[in-house]
Amino acid sequence: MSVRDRLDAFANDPVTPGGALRRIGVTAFVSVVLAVTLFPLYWTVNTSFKTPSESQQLPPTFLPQEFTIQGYPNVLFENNGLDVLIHSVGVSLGATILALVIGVPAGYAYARNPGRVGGKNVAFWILSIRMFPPIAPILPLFFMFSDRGIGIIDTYLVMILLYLTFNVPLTVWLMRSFFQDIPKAVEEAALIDGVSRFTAFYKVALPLVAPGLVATTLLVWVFSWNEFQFALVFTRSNVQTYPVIIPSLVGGHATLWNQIAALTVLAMIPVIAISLLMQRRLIRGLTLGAVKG
Amino acid sequence: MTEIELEHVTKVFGDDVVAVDDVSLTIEDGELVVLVGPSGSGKSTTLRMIAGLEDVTEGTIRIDGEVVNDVQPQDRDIAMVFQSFALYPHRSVRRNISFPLEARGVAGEERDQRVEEVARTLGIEELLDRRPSQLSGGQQQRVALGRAIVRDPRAFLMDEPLANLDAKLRKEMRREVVLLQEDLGVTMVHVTHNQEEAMTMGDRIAVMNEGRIQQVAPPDETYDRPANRFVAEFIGSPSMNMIVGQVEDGQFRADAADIAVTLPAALADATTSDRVTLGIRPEHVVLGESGENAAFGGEVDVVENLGNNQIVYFDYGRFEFLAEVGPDHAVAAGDEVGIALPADHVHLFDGTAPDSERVERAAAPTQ
Repeated sequence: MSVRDRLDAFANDPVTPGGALRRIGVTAFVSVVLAVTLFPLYWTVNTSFKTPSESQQLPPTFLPQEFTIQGYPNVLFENNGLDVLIHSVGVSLGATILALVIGVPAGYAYARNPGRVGGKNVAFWILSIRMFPPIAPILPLFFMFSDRGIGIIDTYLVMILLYLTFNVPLTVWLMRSFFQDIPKAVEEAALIDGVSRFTAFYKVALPLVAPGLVATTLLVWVFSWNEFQFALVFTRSNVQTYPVIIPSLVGGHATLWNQIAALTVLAMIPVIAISLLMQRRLIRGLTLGAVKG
Repeated sequence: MTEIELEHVTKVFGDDVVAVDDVSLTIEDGELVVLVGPSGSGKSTTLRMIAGLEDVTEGTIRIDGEVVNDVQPQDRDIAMVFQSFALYPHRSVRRNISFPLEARGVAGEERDQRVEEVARTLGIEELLDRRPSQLSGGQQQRVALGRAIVRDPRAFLMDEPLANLDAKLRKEMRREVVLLQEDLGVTMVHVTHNQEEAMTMGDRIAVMNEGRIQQVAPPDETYDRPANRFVAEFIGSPSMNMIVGQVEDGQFRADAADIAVTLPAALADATTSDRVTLGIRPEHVVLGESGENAAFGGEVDVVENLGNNQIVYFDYGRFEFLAEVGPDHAVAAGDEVGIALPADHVHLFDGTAPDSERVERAAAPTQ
C-alpha cells in the first residue's frame, strides 16, 4: 500500500466512534511530528529576515519585527558566503558525478557477475569502507595529501577524492540491489535481440533502475553537500565549503544569527529544489509489470 | 536453411554440477523439435547454450555448419521467447517489437512497416502504444512472439513460453505457435516440461532426464516405442503402468503381487537382467476378462469418471495399477475384475532403473 493509498484510506475512513478516536490520535501524532520537523525550518527562515540585533534578542520574536533581507547580502559578500556556496556546488557536483560514474557500473557488475569482480568478499570490503568513522583515516590522509605528501590540500581535487571514499561504497551497494531487482531475462532478451552487452546495459538495465538511480544521486549529493569533518580538516580558504564557514560566524561577543540563518536557507535551496525536481521519477515504479507471475 | 547441431555438448556449473551431459542432437532446417523433461533435466540449459547465454563446457554447437561456441548471442541471429516473456517494461509494445530492428540499424519507414505487419499477423495492432504492464498474459505472449519474428531470425528458441498462461490460453497459443512455425518455415526448438505440449507440437521430441537425452523421435514413436523406462513413464497421461518382476520360463512374475503374464517368446528371450520391468499403458489394459484370458485379478479401488472415459485404480500395496476404459464400461469400486494385458501392447524394460532399455521385438507388432 503506497503512502497515498494510506492517506486516501484515512481520509475516507467512515466516522464511527472508534474511527473518530483513531483519527484524533493519528492527527495529533502527525501534528507533533510535523511540528518537531518543521519548527527548525521555520525558525531559520524567520531568523534570516531579522536585523542582527533582533536576531540576538531575548526573548526571541516569532516573526521579524523589522523585516530585512540585509542578512543575505551581508553573509554572501562580506563573509565569503557566495564563495563557499560556489565551492560547495563544485565539490558536490564533482563528487556526485564521479561517484555515479564509478559506482553505477560497479554495482551492475556486482549484481550480474560478482564472480568476475572479486565476489562477495570484495563487495563487502567496499561496503566496510563506509562503516569506519571518518575521523579514523583523517590523520593518515592528511599527511598523504599535505605538502609533505602529494600536496593537494585545499583543492577541489582533494575534497572530491575524499567524498568518493564514502559515496562510492554507497552507490555501489544501492545500485547493486536495484540492478538485482531487474529480471535477468530482460537483459538476455536484449542480447538475443542483437545488441551488445554495453547497449543492453544502457538501453535496458539503466532505464529500468532510473528511480533507484535518482534516489542514489540524491543521497550522494546530500551527503557531499552537508559533509563537515573532512571539509574542516582539508580546506583552508581556496575551496572552503559552506558547512565550515558557519561556525566561523559564531563570534566571541556576538553571534551573527541572521547571517547564519540566511546562509542556511540558501544552502537548503539546492537540496529541496533537486528533491522536488526528481520527486516524480522517485515514486514512479518503472519495473512494475516487467515480469508476469 | 538453418540446421542446428549439438555434438557431445556438456555443461558443468561450478566445479561439479553437471547440468547437460554429452548431448548430441541435430535439428533439421524448418523442423520443430521439442525438448521435454522434468525440471532439472537440462533442457533449458541446452536451449540457453544454443542461444549463447551459457558457455559450452565441452563439445561443439554448430549453426549452419559454423561452430558458434564462441559467438556472442547478439551475433547468432537467433530469436528467443522467454517463460517470463522478458518484455522491456519501459518501452511501448511498438518499441518492444522494433527493438531487434533498432539493434540492426533498420530505421524509419521500413521499421514502422515491419512492426505494423507483425502486429497485424498477431492481432495486436490496437495494443501498439500500450506498455507491457497494461497487457494481459496472452497479449504479453503475443508481443514476445512479435519481437521474435519481426526480424526473420535463423531459428526460434522457445523457453517454456506457454508455462505462464492459463490452461485454455495455453492450448490456443500452442496451436498458434505451431501454425506460425509452419507458416514461416523456420527452425524451432521448443522447451517444455509438459509432455502433452511436446506430443502435440513437435515434429520430433527429445526427451531429457538428468542432463542426458533419453530418446529423440517423432511423438508417436516415443509413445508407442519408448526407448527406456523413463520415456515410457514420462510420455503419456495417465502414466504407463510399471510392474517390477522377473522372467521365468517365458512368464513374467511380479515381485510384489500375485501377477503372472505370459510373454511373447521374442520378448522373454531377449532380457538380460535378473529383474525387469513390465509396462503397459492404461488404455491398453482390458478389464472384465476371465479364465485363461485374464493375466491376473484385482479389486477396484477407485473409479474416476472423466466423461469421455473412466480411469480405474487398483491398489497392489507396493504399486498402483491403472486402467482406462470407455464411459459405458460398468465398473465400480469394490468390484473384483479380471485384468488382461494384450501381448501386442506389453512393453518390457531390461532392468528396473529409469534408463533400462525397452526390449525390442524382431518385428514391432504395435506398428
